[in-house]
Amino acid sequence: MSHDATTSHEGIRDDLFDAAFLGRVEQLALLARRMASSGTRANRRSRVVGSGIEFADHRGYTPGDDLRNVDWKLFARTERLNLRLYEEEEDLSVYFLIDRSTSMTMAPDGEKTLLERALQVAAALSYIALSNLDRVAVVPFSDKITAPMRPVRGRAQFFKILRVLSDVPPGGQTDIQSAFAGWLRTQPRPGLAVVISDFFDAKGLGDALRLLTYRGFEPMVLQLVDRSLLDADVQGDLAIVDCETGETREIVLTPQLLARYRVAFEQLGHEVQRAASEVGARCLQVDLSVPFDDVVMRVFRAGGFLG
Amino acid sequence: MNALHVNQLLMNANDVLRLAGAMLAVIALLYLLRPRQRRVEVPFGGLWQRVLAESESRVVGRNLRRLLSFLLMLTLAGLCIAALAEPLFGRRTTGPKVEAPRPHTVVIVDVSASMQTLDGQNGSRLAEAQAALRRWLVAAPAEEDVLLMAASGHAEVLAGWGSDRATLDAGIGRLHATDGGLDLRRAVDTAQQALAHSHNGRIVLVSDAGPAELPLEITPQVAIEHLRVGPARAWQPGQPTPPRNLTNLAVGELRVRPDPTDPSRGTLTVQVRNDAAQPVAAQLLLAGSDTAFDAATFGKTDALRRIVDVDLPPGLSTQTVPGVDLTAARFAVQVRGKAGVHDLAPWDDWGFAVLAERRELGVLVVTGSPEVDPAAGNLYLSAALFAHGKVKVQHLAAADYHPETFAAKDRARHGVDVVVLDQAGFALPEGTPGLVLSLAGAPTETLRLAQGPELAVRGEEHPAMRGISFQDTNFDKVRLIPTRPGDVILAVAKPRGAVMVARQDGARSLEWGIDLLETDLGARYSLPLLVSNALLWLAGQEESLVPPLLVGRPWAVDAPVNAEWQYVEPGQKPRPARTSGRQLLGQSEHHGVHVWQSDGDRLVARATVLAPTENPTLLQPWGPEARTLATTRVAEQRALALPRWSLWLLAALLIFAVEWLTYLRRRTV
Repeated sequence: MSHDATTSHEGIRDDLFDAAFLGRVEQLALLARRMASSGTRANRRSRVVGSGIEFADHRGYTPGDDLRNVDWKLFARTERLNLRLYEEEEDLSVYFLIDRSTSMTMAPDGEKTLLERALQVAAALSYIALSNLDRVAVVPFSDKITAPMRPVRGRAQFFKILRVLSDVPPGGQTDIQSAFAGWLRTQPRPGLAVVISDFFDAKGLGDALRLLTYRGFEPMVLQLVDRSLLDADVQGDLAIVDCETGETREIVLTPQLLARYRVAFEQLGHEVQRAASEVGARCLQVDLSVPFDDVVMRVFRAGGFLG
Repeated sequence: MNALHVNQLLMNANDVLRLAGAMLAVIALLYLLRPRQRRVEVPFGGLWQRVLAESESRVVGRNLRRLLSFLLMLTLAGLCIAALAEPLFGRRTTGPKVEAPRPHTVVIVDVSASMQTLDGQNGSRLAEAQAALRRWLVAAPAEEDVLLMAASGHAEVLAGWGSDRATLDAGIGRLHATDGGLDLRRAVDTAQQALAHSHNGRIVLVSDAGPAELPLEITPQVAIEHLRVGPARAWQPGQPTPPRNLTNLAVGELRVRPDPTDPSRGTLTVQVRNDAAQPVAAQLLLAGSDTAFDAATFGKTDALRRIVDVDLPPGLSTQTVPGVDLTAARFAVQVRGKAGVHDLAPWDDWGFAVLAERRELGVLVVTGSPEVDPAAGNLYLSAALFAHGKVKVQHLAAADYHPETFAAKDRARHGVDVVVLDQAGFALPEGTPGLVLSLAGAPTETLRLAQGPELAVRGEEHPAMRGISFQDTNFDKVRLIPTRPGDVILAVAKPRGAVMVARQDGARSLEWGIDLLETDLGARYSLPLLVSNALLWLAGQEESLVPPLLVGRPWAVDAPVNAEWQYVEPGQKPRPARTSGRQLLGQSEHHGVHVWQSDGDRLVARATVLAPTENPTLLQPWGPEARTLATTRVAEQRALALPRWSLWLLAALLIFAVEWLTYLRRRTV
C-alpha cells in the first residue's frame, strides 16, 4: 500500500496521517486522559513484591523468601510468618496486531479500505498510549508476522510508529493463529494486544486469542467491517472469486441468497464476539463508515484500553 | 390435407444429417454469443461457502435448471429439424416402412366426358379403364405405393398413398365420368408434385387420349406410362410407345367479323401456331352454337359448321375463313393435324369467340308513382337499365298509357320489346312481354302488406333469378301475389307467400310485388343483375345467361372450422373435404353443385358467374335463406396462407425466446 500511496519525505503517508489527522489525535489524547482521571481507567498494575510503596496484600512465608519483607507485627499477633506484598507500577506494552491481508484491502473505487482505517485507528491509539508512557509496537500480520517491531516508548517515537504504519505491506492470506504463534515465538513482553482485523479467517479466532492469553497477553478485539459490500445490487449467474485464495464458486445470486449471506455475515460477527468473551477480551465491531476518531472514542467507552 | 403430404416425410439420412449439422452449428454459435458469466471478487469466499452449504439441494436445483436449459435447446433443435421435415400428426403411411428406393406410382385416370362413350370393351371407356386398372394393379409389385387420382377439369385424389389393394380397388370403384373436359396438364402437375420427394416415381396415365397427347412439362426423372382405353388398340404393359411425328398445333386467337351487308354471315380470322420445323397439313373445325361454351359442350352439340383444310407453315400464321354462318352467338374453332401428325398439347387446340348482340332491346317504362317524375322514371330502375347497356329506354307517363289500345303493330313501330310497369296500376297489353312492379293501388289484386319482410330466392333455376341473392336486403313493403297454375314462384317472403312470379301464358311476364322506393335493393349489386335477367328472359334471350363456366377453376368458401366437413357426391360415399385454413376448397364443374356436410350442418355451393369474377352461391335447401359468399381464388389464398412448417418454426422460436429471456434474466446485472 505504501508503494502507491502518497508519502512525504519522512516516509509517512500523507493521505492517512496528515496535519488534520495529527491534530485530531492530539485532541483524542487529551480527551482520553480526562476520561482516565475520572475513574474509568482499569487497573493495570503488576502484583510483584518489592519495590512498590503501596501495600497490596499478604501471603504466607515460604523458605527462601526475603526475611526483610516479613510482617513482624502480624507475626506478633498471629505467630505466623507472612510477607507484605506491594504493588509496583510498571510501564505497559501495547501491541497493535494489524491484519494486512488482501481482504482488508477491498473497497469500492475511491473509498478507504479497512486496512487504511485500521492504520489510522492504530496510529491514534498509539499516540494515546505513548502519551501515557506505555510501550507501543505495531505488528502487521496476515498468515505470518512480517518485520516485527520492538516496542518503543515516549511521544517522540510517534513518528516512528507512523513510518512503520505507512510501510505496512498489504496482501496475503489471513491465518491469525499461525501468525500469532509465530509472533509469540519471538518472546514478546506480555501486554495489551489490540487485534484489528476483519477476521475473515476460516480457522476462526478462538484459538488465536487463547494462545495470547496463555502467554499472558490481554487481548482486545477490534473488528472492522465494510457493510457497503453487502449492499451490492449484483444478481444473476456469477462466479465468485475469493480475493485471498483465488478459489472460484459458481452461484446464481438471487435476493434470497443475498439475504442469507447478510445473515451469515452477522453470524460471523457474533462468533468473533463469542470468541473474545470466552477469553475475557473486549470486542468492538466498527463499520468502515464510522470516522476513525469515533472509533477511538468507542474503544475508550468500551473500556479496557490502557489502565 | 391428403395423402400427398405423406410423401414429404421421405427425407433421406443425408438430408437429416445435414440439417442436424447445420442446426448444431447454429446452436453452438448462439451459445458462443451468450453473455459471459460475470466474475465477482469477494473478500471471504468461506462465508459464501457456508451460505451455499446450508442448502446443497439448491445446487441440485441449479444444475437441474442448467440441464433443463440444455434440454430446451435440444428440443429447439429437434423442432427446427421437424419443421423442415414437415411431419403430419395422426397420419402414417400404410404398409411396411418406406425405404429410399421404394417405388411410387401415381395413377391418373381420365374421367372426362369422353370416357362416358359406350365403345369400350366393358361398356363405357371408363368401365374399360377400371378393368384395365384392376389388372394392372394385380401385376404391380406388392410393395409399390400407389396414389389413385381422377382427372377431368381438376385432379382429385381417390386413394393413396398406400399399397393396400383393397383400398385402391375401392378407389377404382369410385371412379365416375364427369361432364367436363380433361385438363391433363393440371393432372400431371399434381402428380409430379406428389412425386416431388420420391426417388423412384412414375406416372401411369389411364386415358382414351393418344400417347402423342402427353403434356410437355414432365420432369425427365419421372417415367410416364400410358394405359390407353377406347376403340383403339389397348395399351399393354411393356409394349413400346409408337413412334411419333411430334409437333404442337395451337389456336392463338379467334375473331368473328360480321359482313356489313349481311350480318348473318361473316368472316372468321384464326391465328394458328405450328411448333414443327416444317409445314403441317391440318384441319380447322369451325363450330357455332348459342349454348355451348367450351370444348366439351361444343363437341357434344351439333355445332359443327365447316371443316377447312389448311397447310400451316412453321410458326404463327393467320387463317381467314369467309362466308361463315353467324346466326349463332358463340363460335369455336379447333385445329387438328391430319393423319400422322401427333399433337403434343390438345388442350390448346381450341379458340372461342362470342358475337356481340347487334340490336338493343327496346324497353318502355310506364311510371305511375306520384313520387316519381314520369319523364325520368324511377332512379334505381333507370340505373339498372343503364347498367344493362344494351337497352333503349322510353319513358311514358301513366296518364298516356292505354294498354287496351296498345296493339302489336304499335309495339313493332316503336321498337318496344318489353314493357315495364312501375307502380302504374294497369295490366300489360295483350301479347306483350312485360315486367310489373306493383305495390299498393293495383286494381286487380288483393293487397296485403307485410312490414319488414325477408325475401328468399325460390326459383334459383329460373333464368330470371340466376346469381341473385336477397341476403341482408331490406324490403319495407311487399305485395303477396296470388299465384295461378303454371306460375313459377321466384321469391317468397316471410310469412310464406309469393312476391316474385314468372308467367308464360302467351307472352312472358314477370310480376314483382315490390316498390324500388321501399327497399335498399337498389343500392345492391343484385338489382342490375335482376333487371338484366328479367329483360333477357322476357325478350326470349335467356340463352345469353348461360354462364361461361371455367371448368376446373378453383375457389373457396368460408366454413366453420370446428367441424369435420365431408364432400358429398350423388351416389358416392362422402369423403373428407378439401380444406385450407378456414375455407372449403372447390372447383367449378359443369354440374355446378357442391355439397358438404358435417355433424348437423350442411353447405351447398352452386357456382354461377358474375363477370368477371366467379362467385359461388351457398344455399341451404331446407330453409329460405340463401347467401352469396365472397370467395378467394385459391391461388391467391395459397399465397397468403402460411406454410405448414412455419407453425413448427414458430413454436421453436417461441421456446427459444422463452429460454433466452429466462437465461438473460438469470444473467441480468
